[in-house]
Amino acid sequence: MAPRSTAQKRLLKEYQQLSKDPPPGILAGPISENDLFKWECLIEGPPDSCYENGVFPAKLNFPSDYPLSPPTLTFDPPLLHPNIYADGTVCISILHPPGEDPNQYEVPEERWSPVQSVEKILLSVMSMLAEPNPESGANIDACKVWRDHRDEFDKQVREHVRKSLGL
Amino acid sequence: MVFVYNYDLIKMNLDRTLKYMIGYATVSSILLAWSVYDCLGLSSDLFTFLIEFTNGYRLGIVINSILMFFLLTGKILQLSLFGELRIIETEHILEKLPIFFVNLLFNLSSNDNNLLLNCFLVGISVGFKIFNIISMDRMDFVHMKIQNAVISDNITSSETLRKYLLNMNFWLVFFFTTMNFAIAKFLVYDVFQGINSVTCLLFGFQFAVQGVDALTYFSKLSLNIYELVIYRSGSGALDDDIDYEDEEQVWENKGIFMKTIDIGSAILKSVSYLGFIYLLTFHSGLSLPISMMQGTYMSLKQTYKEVKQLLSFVESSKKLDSQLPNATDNDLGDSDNLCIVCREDMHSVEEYERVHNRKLSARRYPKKLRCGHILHMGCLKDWLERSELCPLCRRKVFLSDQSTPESTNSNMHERFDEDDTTNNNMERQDFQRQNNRDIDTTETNGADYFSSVRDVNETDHPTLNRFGNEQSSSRIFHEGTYQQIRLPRNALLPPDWTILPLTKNEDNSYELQLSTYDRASFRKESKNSRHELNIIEPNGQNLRLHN
Repeated sequence: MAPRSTAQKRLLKEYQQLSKDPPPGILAGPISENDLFKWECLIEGPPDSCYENGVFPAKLNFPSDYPLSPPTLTFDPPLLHPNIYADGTVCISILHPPGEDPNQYEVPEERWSPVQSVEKILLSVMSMLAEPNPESGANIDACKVWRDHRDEFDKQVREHVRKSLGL
Repeated sequence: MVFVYNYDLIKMNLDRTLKYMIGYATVSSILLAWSVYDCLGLSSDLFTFLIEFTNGYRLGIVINSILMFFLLTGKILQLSLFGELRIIETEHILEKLPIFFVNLLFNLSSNDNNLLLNCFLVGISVGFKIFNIISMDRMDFVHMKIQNAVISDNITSSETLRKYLLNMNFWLVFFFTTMNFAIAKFLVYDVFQGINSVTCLLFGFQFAVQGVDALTYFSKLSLNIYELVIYRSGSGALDDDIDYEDEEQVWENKGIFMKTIDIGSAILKSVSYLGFIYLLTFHSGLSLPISMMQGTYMSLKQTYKEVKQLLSFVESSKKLDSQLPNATDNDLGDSDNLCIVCREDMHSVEEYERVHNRKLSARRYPKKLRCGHILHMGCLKDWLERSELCPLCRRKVFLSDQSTPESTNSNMHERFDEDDTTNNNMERQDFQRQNNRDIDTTETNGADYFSSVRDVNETDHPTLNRFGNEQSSSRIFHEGTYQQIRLPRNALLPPDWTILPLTKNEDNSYELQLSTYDRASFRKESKNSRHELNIIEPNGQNLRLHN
């Protein structure tokens, strides 16, 4: 099947680039060769964080007008993190479309633009795991625990990591 | 095994809600039956029956029955039309209903208090709201599915169209859209004129606004379907021979149509709000409904914003080809040649014709923005539908109208009193390169602003973004070679920049304050169509500092 739209061609390019020169700690690719708009990825928990040693599966869903609109990234199973919604959807500013900011706190420079790529998104997510941004919390409960009871938060995440590894 | 287990789980959930519903329905029915029976014993004719029936606690029973009726029919309709709801649909409903409910309460707060009618209206409105939300969400889902199928399986146009027309959700969306308007018309025209109930008018109006939203959705959906059928669908056979890079089919004007629909919807909303206010204030002589003011204001503002956006979009797509220069071989040679949007190579027009021996399609023209970044024209155009900033450095792609290059050019001439000629760019550039940190000698309003000149090609610094917006007014002069940036006092500076206060002396020389004690003065002179900054010191080699 020859890729037809700009989105497909670009996704194919990014896929080739990623498989040729994969960044450390990240694995990503389309679930099926027939549908380039749905990707699966594995993200390694950044070292020196409570997510260390974990490998977290996530799904990337691309819109048909990618790269003009950002994809969505969903951790499956959901991950406990201040910036990840309870259903696993990641909330970081580079995944928000340009234009008016509904929350009024994001600088336009940090929003989505076609310069971003799958690789950059996943790297940002890794750094988000290492350093949560409590100012734009998505999961309020996680935010509270993270802010007030960091030990408890770390414990819960480590527990999750252990379980996910089948230990 | 897994399948069976899942099925059981779903059934169990379904069973539980159904059990509650059936229990509630039974209790309500028994209450209603008992109430009817009781009333029949008490009353002699229909009239007294009705009075008894809607009196005291029996009224509660009637209201409860109405609620039950809506709940039950709603659930049955939902199960038969949509089946189980997806999670996102439930979430959308839970998200939108509270606000909607508050609005309804406002509607109910008008002075006629026909409780039964109100209950009925609330039931209908909430039911329609929910079904509107579900049908749109479901349609989005179906649309995505068909779109993916079309893109990956290369389905023909007629087949794509058939897929939509045979889909029940498509017709449901259509049905709900028309129903909204029908109910609105019924409530506003017939009921309002018949019994003059302001509540009915309010609800009818609510339906009208909802109908406009649904209509907007439906029109956009139709546009998307049209695009899919005409531009995306394949001809049936896999045609691998076509050079995809050139023959990509894109509906160029889709963005304009989309915006037009938005404008239409915003105008319709404003009109219905205004019409409603007119009806209420002048026709019925009632006081102005405060709860509607916010909506009126928002819809008017929306109209204004949408029109402005459309105009600027049309403007910028016109300007795209004429105002932005095509990148030359030189420009392309300097940077790597990938267009950041589609990640494909860019060729200059001449080179492409030389190599491929045919014309480069217009969407593939490499366009150089004034920030120096190069993109395909088509890619840039698609991006400009969403944002007016350069995707790389987030600087405005086009200048606002007040500072088009022409006008600034003439301004500059006046300021410098120069006998400017056309071809002094190169010398100027060379000169600037040597004196990279030179300060422009523009006369400023007092000493409020400090000015600097920099070569545009060297302004790719990330921190520059901070004042790429309205905070500072940036200008191009001399065919876009240099950029002068005026900064407010609190602007953030790139780390390799320095700002020095500049004052103009009476003899047209300038004084630069390097530190508290050190100053340098220089003069701008034009000789034989060359512009020079002459340092007014005997040796003239360096800036000489004087204490």
